Amino acid sequence: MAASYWSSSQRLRWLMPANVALPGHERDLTRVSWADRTKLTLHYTNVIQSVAKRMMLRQRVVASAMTYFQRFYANNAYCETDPYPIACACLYLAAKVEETPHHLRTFVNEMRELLRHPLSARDGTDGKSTTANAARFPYTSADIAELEIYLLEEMDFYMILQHPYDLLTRLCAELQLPQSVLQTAWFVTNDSFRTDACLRYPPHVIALAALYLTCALQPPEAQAPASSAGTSMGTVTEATGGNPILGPGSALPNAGAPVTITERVKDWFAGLSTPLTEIAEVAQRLLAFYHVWDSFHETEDVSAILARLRTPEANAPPTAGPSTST
Amino acid sequence: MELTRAYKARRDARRPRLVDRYEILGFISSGTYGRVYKARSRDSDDDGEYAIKAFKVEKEGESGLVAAGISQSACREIALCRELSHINIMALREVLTENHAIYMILEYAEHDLLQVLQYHGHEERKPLPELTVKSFLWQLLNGLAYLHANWILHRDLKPANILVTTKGVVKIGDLGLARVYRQPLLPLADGDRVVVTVWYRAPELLLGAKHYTKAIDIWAVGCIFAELLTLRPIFKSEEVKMDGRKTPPFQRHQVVKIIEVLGTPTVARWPGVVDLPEYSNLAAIRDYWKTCSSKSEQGFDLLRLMLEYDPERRISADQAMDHPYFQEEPKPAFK
Repeated sequence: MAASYWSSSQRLRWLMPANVALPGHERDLTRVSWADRTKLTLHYTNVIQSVAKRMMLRQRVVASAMTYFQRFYANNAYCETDPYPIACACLYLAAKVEETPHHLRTFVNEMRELLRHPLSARDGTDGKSTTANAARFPYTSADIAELEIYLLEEMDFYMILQHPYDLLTRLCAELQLPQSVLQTAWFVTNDSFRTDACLRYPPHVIALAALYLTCALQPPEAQAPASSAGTSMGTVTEATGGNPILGPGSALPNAGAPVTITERVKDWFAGLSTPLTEIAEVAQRLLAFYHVWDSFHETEDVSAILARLRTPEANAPPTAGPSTST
Repeated sequence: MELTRAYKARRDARRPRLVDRYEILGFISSGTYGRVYKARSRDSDDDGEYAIKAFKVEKEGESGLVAAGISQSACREIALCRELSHINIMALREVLTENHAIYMILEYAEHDLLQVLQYHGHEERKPLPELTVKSFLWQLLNGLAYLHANWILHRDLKPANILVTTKGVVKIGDLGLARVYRQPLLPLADGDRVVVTVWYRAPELLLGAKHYTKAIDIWAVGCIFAELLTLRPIFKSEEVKMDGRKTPPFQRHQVVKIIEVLGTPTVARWPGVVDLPEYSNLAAIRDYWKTCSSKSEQGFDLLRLMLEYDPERRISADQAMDHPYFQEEPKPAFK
């Protein structure tokens, strides 16, 4: 557990094979494409991230909440549930488990505030009607308290998680990589929780994949030493989407070593006991995810996808508003 | 709302009922958390007995109480027990839910150390055999060393929370105050202002330390060791109650009790303590030892190391298990 990943429930109970389809995903994929389902996950994890930011919760809490969310939706489908209250329950529980608890009503109020406006003008009859407001998050504290127990049951009451951040930080220090590399790899790690990689790969593989992707797409030499890799998620998308910051050569004190940092990192990766294929698989998943993110227009996409997902097959009226809740 | 209702209905329909899985044999105890029952599995392959801990539904709110999800203490206990597996830690078999209540199905242990102490102190009026004391202590340290190796502080070790099976196996129970202490997001003292029952509370906690370590659990074990030898609490004070106070009151009487036995902590013994008046009565603990049932010099040495004022100098569970006291006759059972 806290001391060892190898004896943790995260590995023994909740690590899923890389290529076995998850039942919850399968049911959604009969109605919408993988890319569309990925966009919904992006939207719901955006909600988690935004509420966490408003409440100034730590990244570890966000990572746990998103993992809980992924666990819940391993066996449940977006088409059969309303993910907003589940997202809220995930954050509330994660904050407790990470020993930074807040009142339940604070989470509920923040969710309500964030989801106050309809997704797009199409959703509300006049775009600002109060009934439409209530529709996106009509839940009370009592509702979320109840759902927390369902969430726990779905997870079979396994809550303790290890995250890739510690290892990532230690690796970057050990390899003497510039701060900007750590920063970008850190953001890539944050993004990995928006995919099911956290259910399918151990945290150390995710840390390695994030570092690998960062170094491959943004060679440390090409980075300005003082460059900040940006603080928004969008910057990460850009940066890893083939838009590296082309700055002057790195000012890393390299003690006159003849090899470049990239070569050094390459050698280091080659000598790892963790199979490179696993790392490459995670990197592939992340790239596929970033590709979807690049073409994501949250306000239009989500309501359109939900409309297709939630309308009963066959007699679905093509222009019906999404039944997010009610 | 409709989707959520439908989801819950589907889930509720699939859920086995607690009474179909377990036969409730009787009531064991109750506390602020809820109630504990003794039960037997209805599974014919399973002849084990279980303790079912039923948690009360939590409430919060200023104007009228509304459900507030599972309590921090239930959350901790379930989260930690779900990961742990050790002969000297109370095992969690499964967790069930029914009508928005949560039930922990724990392994059953017949006795706890408080009962053992009371029985020997009041009924028998004779000391526990040293073999028994040493066996309890060693198993307690063994369980604690496992918790500490997993970066977990128990924070509520006391005789009532240490269970003993009919075969004499010690099980550390009640992890409701326990937590992982590696890389805390907030200082430990910010989360819970008061930890450990006052008689077993380490001096650094009594003196209001913001940061504390696994040494607080060792202090509590030291207190329990002494109590096993004398059949009465070593530092038995009158607790100052919170009485609606916002901050926990200074437990003056508890500090006095410790000083009566150990002498006043000096800067030399505990460099971290600088605000206390200088005083030294190193002989005091010798006097106390004469009242103990054990005459072992090694036993005295181990007790002294566990009740070291300075948490930095206090012995660890691993070191304590290697102490020569356990090499002397009588050797502990279960080692």
